[in-house]
Amino acid sequence: MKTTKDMKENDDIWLKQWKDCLEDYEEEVPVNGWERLQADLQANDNGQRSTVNGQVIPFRRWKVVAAAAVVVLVAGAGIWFLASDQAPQVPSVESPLAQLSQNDIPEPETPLDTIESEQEDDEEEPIATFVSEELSPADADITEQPAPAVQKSTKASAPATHTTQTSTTIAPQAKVSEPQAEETKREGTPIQVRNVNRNQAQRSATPVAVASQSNTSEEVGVVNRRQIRVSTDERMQNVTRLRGGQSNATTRSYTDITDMDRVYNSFSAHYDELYNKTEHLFDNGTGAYSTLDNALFLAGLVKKMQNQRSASDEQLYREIAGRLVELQQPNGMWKDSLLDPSSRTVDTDTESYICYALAWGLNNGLLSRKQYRDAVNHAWKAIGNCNSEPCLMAAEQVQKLQ
Amino acid sequence: MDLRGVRRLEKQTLTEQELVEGCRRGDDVARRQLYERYAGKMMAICMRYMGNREEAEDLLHDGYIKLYGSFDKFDWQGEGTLPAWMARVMANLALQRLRKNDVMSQTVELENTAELRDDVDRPDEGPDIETIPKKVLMQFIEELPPGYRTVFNMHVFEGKNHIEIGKELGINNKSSASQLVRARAILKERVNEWRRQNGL
Repeated sequence: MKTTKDMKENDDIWLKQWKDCLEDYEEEVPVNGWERLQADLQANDNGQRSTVNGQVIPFRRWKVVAAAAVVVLVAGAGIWFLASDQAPQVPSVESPLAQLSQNDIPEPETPLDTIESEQEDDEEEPIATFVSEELSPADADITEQPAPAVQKSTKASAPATHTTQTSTTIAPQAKVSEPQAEETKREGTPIQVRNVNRNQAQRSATPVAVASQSNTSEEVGVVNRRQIRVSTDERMQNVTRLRGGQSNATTRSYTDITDMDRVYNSFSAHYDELYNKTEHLFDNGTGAYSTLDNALFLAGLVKKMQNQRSASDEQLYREIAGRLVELQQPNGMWKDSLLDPSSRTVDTDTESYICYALAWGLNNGLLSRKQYRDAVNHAWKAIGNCNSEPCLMAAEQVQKLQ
Repeated sequence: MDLRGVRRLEKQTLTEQELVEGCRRGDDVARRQLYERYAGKMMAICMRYMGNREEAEDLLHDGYIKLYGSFDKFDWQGEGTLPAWMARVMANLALQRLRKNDVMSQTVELENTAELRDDVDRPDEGPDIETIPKKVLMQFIEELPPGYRTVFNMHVFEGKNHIEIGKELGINNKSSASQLVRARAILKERVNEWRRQNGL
């Protein structure tokens, strides 16, 4: 008979084995991991200076020159007024600048050149910063113009590799630098693009964008990378579009439960184009069967059926639910892209939506308990601990099952 | 890594101390070697904590950025202290992130307590894991529910006791202990299952 202490020790030995076995274990490292790091490190080392290249510069340089010219003219005017005996005779309301430009005054010419070249040499001069901030709305306008074209081209290349897309979902401020991204994408690694993007967006951003950036400045790198990587999922662009463009699902698991309604409404509206009647799944317009979208739809459908049920709703529910259970992985989870076994495992929220929808079906007699109960329990177990809203919804239904 | 990179590394493999000094100076060769040499191990830590590749890769990247920027705070005290320090930085960053995702808040009553009782009633030494591929063991850990996984990692790999874990994660130390028990129960079950399936 073992004592409690013995048992505990045995268990501790067993856990120690885990440590011994895995302490030196090496996991496969990310592709281009060092290159990405190096790009970030360089950006950090050089600070903002490293981002001074590419297309935005001509505009900025032009503006710097213009600003310098204004400064010189104003200064020149001052000097001219001080030096000139006629100054008092000039009516004060009329622009001295207009006057000035018509007068041939030699002095301003030289300083103008000097300041110009100084500004070109060093973008970091306080005056340059001031100017670029002040003129940035115009800047944004100019650079934003090519954006639609870019969007089109990224859409065309949708099925391509992950990192090549920088899409509408990134962040408001990133829009400014989209053309840049498209440009650099062809030559450099995608990650470098990101860095350039981020910093350039920061520099040329409107004051609003700057403010929003500073809120998250602590984790800007993290957030941006995640957002970009996630936005590469081909579904996101289309989902955003289908959800009415207001989606907050730029990151994977951080859905809002109102997404259920949004996806439900937009998928229902496009039922004929999007619902694959042989796969019994919704394709969000990209040819991929996104688990999140189908989960959201099913949960939305459940919500709708709670108010009003029709035979066709029930039929659709059974089809999708049945198909989802078929595609459940041995670990109780689903893959991110339903028919792509190589895709990642879904996040807790997605899992929760499915679990919620299935458990509700069991509770309301839409699914056979015998057939589906295990699947639901399995899914519920796989979720583990959570406190997100979708998970609590699922929990409520699962509890009713007992 | 391209061929040129390989040759360069072969030519001069830096010692641990040289790595530390080089990284402190911001030397690119040293930084690269720090990455090439330890990334696999660090990635394993990231995977153990985050449970999925995507978040682990993010963590690895950000962890390295943090490491490179923290060398002025690191005091090298002999062979082995560098990777140990790196592992701590990674683990702390992982915990920071997990806390941010509120991984520990949970509703205990919703959990299935049946199997836990089972495990307490019939304790055993635990199935032998040394014959199981490490990759499989890693996967078992990765597939633990996040809360269990976090406690398991902190207790088993960082040697923290439940009071320390509770404090760091903002949970009761009893909760930490019970999560470890549950993690252990799940792992045992999975190991047994694997052994059965593979005729062991």
